Amino acid sequence: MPELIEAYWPILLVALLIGLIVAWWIFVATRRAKVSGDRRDVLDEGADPAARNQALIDAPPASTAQPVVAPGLAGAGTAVAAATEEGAVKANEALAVADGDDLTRIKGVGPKLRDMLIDLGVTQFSQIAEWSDADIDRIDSQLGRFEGRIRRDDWVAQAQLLAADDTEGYEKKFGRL
Amino acid sequence: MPIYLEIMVLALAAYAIGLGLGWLLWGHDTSSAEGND
Repeated sequence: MPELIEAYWPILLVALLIGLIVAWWIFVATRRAKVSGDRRDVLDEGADPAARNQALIDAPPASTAQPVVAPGLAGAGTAVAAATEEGAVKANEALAVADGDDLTRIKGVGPKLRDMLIDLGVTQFSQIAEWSDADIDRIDSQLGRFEGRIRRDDWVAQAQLLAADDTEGYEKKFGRL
Repeated sequence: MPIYLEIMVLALAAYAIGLGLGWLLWGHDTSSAEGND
């Protein structure tokens, strides 16, 4: 045996090194990173970013006042004004949604249709309840692949009952809410 | 016992010693949270 070790020590050394490398790979290279420190998440209650975001959400929409335009920058000023106005319109739209009814309570209206209706300025049941045939045609033609849904699902009658908060009458006619 | 088998056994033994050394060096972590908390 000692003669063998003496004769083949390079092979044994290589085997030992391979063992060491495998052990290093197992114990060091594949070890999961340890969690250290206590960095708060931005969404944690009381975290600064969360408070800042909440403040932004609660802030009133941007003013629609026209910015003062320097004569040399008239074009840029108009573009900025348009962008501001667009932002204000979007903010108002968001406010309208916040103030509006949950249009998805109408059977046949899903999130997609609700978004389309909001884009068309329809946010409340009372608006739909007052639609005439001409209004229905006008809105219907803008609903794309949902065309025909208004009459098929009788949105107007549904909206009338929902606007009047007549849950019982609604459920009698259209099923459970 | 053929000589190649003897060499293989010796090589495996050397490999095992290497693994053991590696465990002592890097795997034997006394400060890990799992063990001492």
